[in-house]
Amino acid sequence: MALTPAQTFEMGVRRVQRAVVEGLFVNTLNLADRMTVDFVWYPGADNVNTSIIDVIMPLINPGDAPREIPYKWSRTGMADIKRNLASGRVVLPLAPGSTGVLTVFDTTWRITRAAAGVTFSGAAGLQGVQQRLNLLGYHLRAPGASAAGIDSLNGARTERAVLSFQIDYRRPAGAPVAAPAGPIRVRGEVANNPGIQANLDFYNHVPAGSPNPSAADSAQLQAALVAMAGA
Amino acid sequence: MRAGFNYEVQAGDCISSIAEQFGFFWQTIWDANPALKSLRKNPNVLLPGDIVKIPDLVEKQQSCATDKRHSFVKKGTPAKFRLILERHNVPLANRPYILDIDGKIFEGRTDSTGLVEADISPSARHGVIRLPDDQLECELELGHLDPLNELAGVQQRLQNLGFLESAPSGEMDEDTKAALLYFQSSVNLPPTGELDEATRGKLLQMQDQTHPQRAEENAPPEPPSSADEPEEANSETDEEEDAAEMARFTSLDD
Repeated sequence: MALTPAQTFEMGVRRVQRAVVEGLFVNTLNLADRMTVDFVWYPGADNVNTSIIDVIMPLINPGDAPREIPYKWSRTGMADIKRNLASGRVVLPLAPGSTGVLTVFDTTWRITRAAAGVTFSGAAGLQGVQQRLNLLGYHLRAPGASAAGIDSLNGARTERAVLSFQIDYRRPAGAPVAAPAGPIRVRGEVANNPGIQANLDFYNHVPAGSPNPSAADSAQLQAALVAMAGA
Repeated sequence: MRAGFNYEVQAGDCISSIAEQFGFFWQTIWDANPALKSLRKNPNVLLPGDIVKIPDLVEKQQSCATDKRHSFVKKGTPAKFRLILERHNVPLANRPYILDIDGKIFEGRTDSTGLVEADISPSARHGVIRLPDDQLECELELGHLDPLNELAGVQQRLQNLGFLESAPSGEMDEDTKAALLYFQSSVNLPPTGELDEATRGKLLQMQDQTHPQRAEENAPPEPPSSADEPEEANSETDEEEDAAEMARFTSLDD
């Protein structure tokens, strides 16, 4: 899955009223930031992302029925949005600083958008990983300490936070839980929009070099996403 | 004198554009159509197909001295373009903007409430608003907002407010139901997905709302008793003008 936070507003044409001078009517355009989520098959040797809908529901004949996968987008205090994704892409309204849960195939993804003005270090570096872990609730702060514990050092708290994260987001059913060995295995990916480089970090906890997951794997896959739009 | 007639509203029309087209002030047209006034409430928002009664147009004769040059100034009544820009319900305040209305460029900054305001021609049809700092560009079709008692008008407002992603269809489709649910839950209305009066009222308040900070300063004046009448500078025949209804010109005699 790849995710692109909205950086520009493609609003299309809006219909508005002219107002008589003496009147008090206005028009209001409220821009709702949206994030585009592409469900893609993991790139193979050719490094090409294939829409998941083409993998799961391949188009046999051009006249076949529309291919649709139902999804649900839930946010606290708001009614769920239930629609179908027909192209492997969903567009989700998500305000800076808020979180939503996307459900597809009975699998949920929690998508958190950083608050306006928050900037992160690159996900490939330890500091960036620590910042994102903190945002996701895997706090590195020492008991009683006021500092967030983001020190770019791979200490015990960082390892514990990473382990907790991996337990929550990738433990295959029945699989043993092991402490991470060697480099931290949280992999950051950048949105496929080069103009938004490093604004997205996608924890898919699939170790580098793993084979492409099967459809069954995909159904079990859970990920936490931290997207930073330029709010 | 031109006899009155009925005019069928076209897409993009509003009372002020119709008034300009036929040589009246908008109040005259609006007041001459009490049934329409009662139905639509807002002179800026009509539905294509609405019938507007155009009153008789009475020509005014203006006596002018010979061997003198006479200037006539059209007493036009501009329309207002008012647009509040928000992002996730937070005003885009004090942002530089570029507004292009039928090729005429207005530049400025939004005010503290995100308001863009400009005097425009009542017949202006097309606009583009750009906020370079926010990478925002939006095309605007002026006068095309449908009344709220039409489903298309509801959809257009849902779209303007960021709740409807697809283009207004005029049908109660799944996207519209989802947008209604989204809107209702956002404004603390029962999330039914149904289009009820409470939902319409909230949409009206949020999209077409009276600008709160300008309500006082923009309080409507007393309707002019003879607003459409021509007025000659230094005229000495006011009593004659009371009956006159013609193209709105003011003469500025030498």
